[in-house]
Amino acid sequence: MESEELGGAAALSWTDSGWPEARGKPAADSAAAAVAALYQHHAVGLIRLAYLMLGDRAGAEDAVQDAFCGLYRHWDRLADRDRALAYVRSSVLNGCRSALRRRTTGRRLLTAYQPPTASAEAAVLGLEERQEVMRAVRRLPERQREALVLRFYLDLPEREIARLMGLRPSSVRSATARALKALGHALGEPS
Amino acid sequence: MTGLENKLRAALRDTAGEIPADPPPLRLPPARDSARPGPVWPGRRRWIGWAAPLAAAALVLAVVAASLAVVHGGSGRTTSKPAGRAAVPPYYVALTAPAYPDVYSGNATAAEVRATATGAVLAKVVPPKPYVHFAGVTAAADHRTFVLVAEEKSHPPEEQPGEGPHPYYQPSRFYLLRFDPGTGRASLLALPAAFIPANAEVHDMALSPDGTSLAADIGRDYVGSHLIVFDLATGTERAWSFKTCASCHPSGGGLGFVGTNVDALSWTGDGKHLAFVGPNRAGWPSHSTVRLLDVTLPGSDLLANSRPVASPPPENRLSMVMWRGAIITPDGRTVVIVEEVASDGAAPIKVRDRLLKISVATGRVTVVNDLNVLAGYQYEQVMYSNATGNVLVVSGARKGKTAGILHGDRYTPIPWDRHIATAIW
Repeated sequence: MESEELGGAAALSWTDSGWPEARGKPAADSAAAAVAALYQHHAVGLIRLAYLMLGDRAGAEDAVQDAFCGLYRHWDRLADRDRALAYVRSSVLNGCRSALRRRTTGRRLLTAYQPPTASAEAAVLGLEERQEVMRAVRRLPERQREALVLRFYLDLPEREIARLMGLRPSSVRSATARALKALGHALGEPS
Repeated sequence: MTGLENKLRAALRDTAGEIPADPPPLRLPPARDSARPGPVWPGRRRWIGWAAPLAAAALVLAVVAASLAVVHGGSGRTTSKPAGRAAVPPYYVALTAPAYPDVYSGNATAAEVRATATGAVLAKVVPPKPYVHFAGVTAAADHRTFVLVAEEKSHPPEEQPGEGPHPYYQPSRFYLLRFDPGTGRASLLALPAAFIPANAEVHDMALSPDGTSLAADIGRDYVGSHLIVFDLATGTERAWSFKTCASCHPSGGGLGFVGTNVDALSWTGDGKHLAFVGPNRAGWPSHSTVRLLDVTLPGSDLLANSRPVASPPPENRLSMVMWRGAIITPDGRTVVIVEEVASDGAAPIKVRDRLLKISVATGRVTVVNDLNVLAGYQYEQVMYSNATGNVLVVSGARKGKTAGILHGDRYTPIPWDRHIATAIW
């Protein structure tokens, strides 16, 4: 998934771990350049992830902006810069959780998911069916939705999902199973 | 891959495709705060030297009657007790949330004292300002004394102190709830704010049978938490942690399904032993064993100062078995386990709940209640046990939002409200 998001030329050369080489520059400049490069490569994917969690584009973009600003502010304290993407992905998910908590419970659950614009591809694939699936996804408890998005959108391995969610792999497996069961029930299908 | 999973994957990818491939420009702040100090946990003990007297005083003085919304429900006495209900206390406290189909305790907007026999609301309290939710509840053995944990509304991201990969937890505070069945009134007392440090969460908690000690699993992360016992009379505290096992954690995050659970920590009836779930030994999975901590003995190492009292059978594959609840009965002889077993390998994953009793003396396992399929989306919770464990109150043992009394192997449903997230007797 991350390799799909490489649009445009990278400003810096990249190490095998995906981390840009920016040595030899003043600390603030190199931090800004490194964070900007990371943003260039991964912003779209992260905004899409946040969009699936929140269902609104502006909120998703805000969550990603906040996460990268946080990464920049704490750059000097980041112990393992090879893990910067994981760090910022965690921050995005935390931002989404916070945004969801700020919404009132009733509003969150009673407002139907409405995609902002239907693309031509979406029409071909069956917009109604997709909307029905997404409505059901959005009615899931936050943790279950998160587990589904990380597994079925990002295709992350169970261990990585567990780390991102602060749960054990068995908890992730269980959350996924419960979410699929609920989803199947909502869609009138066996899970 | 099932048809449902294929449909889900396609829907997620199509929906994500609505976001164009040209993100807005990154707007970085002008200066970095590299000198900002890190989290203070666990150095929060600094309060205790000077604040203990204040904490004790707070117990007496911090009445928050102004923020109470008490609903009088008559005398509070229940008049009829069907046979199945006779062995269960007449009142319980339920955490409730309005119009929430899949309630979990972290979103409860009220705590209601209810009658076991009828489900009638006898008294109701809401979180005192600035708190907006009740996240957990625990009970003493007198069935009139309870402790709640209340949470503030979460802050906007730019104001959150826990920025980064660590979860942010909004401020929270313990409250002592007392119910007077004679008048039908409930009152709240604020416990010292310093019991719960900034940006930390109460994962699970248990009030001692005599109501004088509160055990809680508190931390910034599930793996960074401490087991703490607060003396409610003096405001002092003792903390235990897994000093020799960095990846171990006491109960929180493992039992239940996130949130603050009623059946993750439990006391024996003498108030001297605390049961929690931890590793069998260093390096083992954290959820593999129920351990018993003698809180009267010195020491602060959770592993060295506790002993295992119940473990899964060795043939069980731990990755497939999940304990969702584990309490020790007040007589200390039996551990009651809510076990969840997930199928391995190919999708679709099947999940099965079982209620087990394990003898502390012999390790003998008895299956009390075996559900071939998951009973709805809720997992079972053990909300009450009598002295020996032969009378339990459990939720989620039947399909839908249900609760009932298990007397031996006989199940008697009790009136239950779909708005109840969790409850304690």
